[in-house]
Amino acid sequence: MPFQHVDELSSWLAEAGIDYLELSGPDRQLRLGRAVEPELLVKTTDGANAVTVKAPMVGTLLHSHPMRRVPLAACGSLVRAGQTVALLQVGAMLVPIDAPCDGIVVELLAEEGVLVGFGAAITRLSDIATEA
Amino acid sequence: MFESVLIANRGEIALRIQRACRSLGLRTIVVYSEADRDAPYVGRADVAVCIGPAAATHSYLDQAAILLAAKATGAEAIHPGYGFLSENALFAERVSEAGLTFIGPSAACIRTMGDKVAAKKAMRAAGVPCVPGPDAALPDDPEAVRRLAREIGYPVIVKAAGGGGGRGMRIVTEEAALLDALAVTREEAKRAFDNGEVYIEKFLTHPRHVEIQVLADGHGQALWLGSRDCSLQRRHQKVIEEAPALGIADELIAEIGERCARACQQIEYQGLGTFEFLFEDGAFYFIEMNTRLQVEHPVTEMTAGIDIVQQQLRVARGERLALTQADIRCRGHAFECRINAENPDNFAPSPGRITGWELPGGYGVRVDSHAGAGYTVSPHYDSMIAKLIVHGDDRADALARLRLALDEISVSGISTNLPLHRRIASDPAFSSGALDIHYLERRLREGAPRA
Repeated sequence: MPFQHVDELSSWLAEAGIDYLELSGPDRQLRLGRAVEPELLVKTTDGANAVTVKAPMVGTLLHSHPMRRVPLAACGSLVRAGQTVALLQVGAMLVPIDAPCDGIVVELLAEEGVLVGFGAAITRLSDIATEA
Repeated sequence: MFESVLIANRGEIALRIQRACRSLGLRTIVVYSEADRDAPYVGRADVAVCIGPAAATHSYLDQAAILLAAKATGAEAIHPGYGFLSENALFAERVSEAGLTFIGPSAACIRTMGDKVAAKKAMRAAGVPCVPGPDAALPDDPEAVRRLAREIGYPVIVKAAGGGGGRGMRIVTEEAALLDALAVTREEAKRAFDNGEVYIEKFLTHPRHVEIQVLADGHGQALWLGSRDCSLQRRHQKVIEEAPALGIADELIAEIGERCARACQQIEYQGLGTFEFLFEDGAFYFIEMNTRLQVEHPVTEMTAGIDIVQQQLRVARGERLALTQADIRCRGHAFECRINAENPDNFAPSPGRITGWELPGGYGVRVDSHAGAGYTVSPHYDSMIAKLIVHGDDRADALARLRLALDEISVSGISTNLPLHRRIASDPAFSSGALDIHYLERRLREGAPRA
């Protein structure tokens, strides 16, 4: 792929507000990401205000999309309010579990592939103090 | 043929169904609300999954949540128990559409029997005796309505086709009050049930509530398993049930039972069901059919010697009934007391933590309950915490056993209606039996001292 295509794709991503794109072919794989996060000075607190993300319904828990390899919210990563941190699979359906607030993923509370029910603890986020 | 059953209910009946599944080697999947997380039967299921918060509308009544749970757990059948979604035709349909077995009759049967006018029509066609009155919604012409009421004879009762459990009905004793009662009931029905259809029928003044248990397979066989008397009611809620119904000639019960079984064949009914009748002056009048397992099924189990819930699962799996009508016998007599967490004086619910729990036992005594010491009765659901069931050689024997069992049982930490049960068990009129459906409320109004 010519490098200018990457530039073009990047500008499309920016326009569409998409954070990253993955393309898979028989012999290659491309992952293109945008550095959308402003440089943050992130400091986790003592965890007293940690937030537990809970499952909104029944399903089989997935920490990454079945078509992707990258976890949706790995330990230590920063997530934004509304960002999908995990998925619940029921048959062919995938239902996102979204972060209720900004935070740093400090712990994954349920294992990949287990059946979880309504209210099950999925991920723990520590609250963050940010300075742009 | 399914090998796993999702139990879409809670409390004692969830446990009862779980036991029946176990008896057939079926896998049990229990769905529960956050309020029932710690219930003992949840822990005993092969798979248990929380489907929503305490409020039943977002858990036990949430069809989508239950169907998703069935899919996620690989359940092959759904048992709805009683109450909640058990008589919801749409739910039965959606279960079938999802490729699962609904443990109960077809959606079409549920729909017909859920509509009082349609049910009465179907029963008349099948030769089941009904309360006098036209089996159709009322005409708009006031004069035609007056004529109908005159033909039936006063007093008459105006009922909403979509009503039930004492809601949407009004008694009219004279013609002058008829049209007003009609208009009010119609208006109420429109608002409460979204169905303004009303009908009228003869009002019986001192009937007993007598019902027939039926069991039908998917191969055209239908049996009736005996009679029950559920006349002891408060606000249309049954308090004590017994089997068989006292003082009704065997031939008369058999004739009604046969007709119920035939009606099942005619409407292609499958599974368990109950035909409810009013019984007055030696005659039966059909009131409604319950298209589900009932709370009071144990008194029939004790007298017929049949595990009714196991049979229900067997026929749902497509098995042929191994029993014939000739195998069905009524042995002895049985009572069931519904033990509720409620204030014995004003009947207000009394939720809370049970601190003491002493159960009766011995020959002929059975308690169906999901509760125990340390169990917390949730304010979100029906207040029934246990069913005390006794069996004896005859009614007097069973009643004596009931009194002993009621002396033995004790529940502390919460209030219960045990004082009411003890009072009824020692009531001379109850000992004689064959009381009408108004007896209990009459006695409560009289406020006789508690035994």
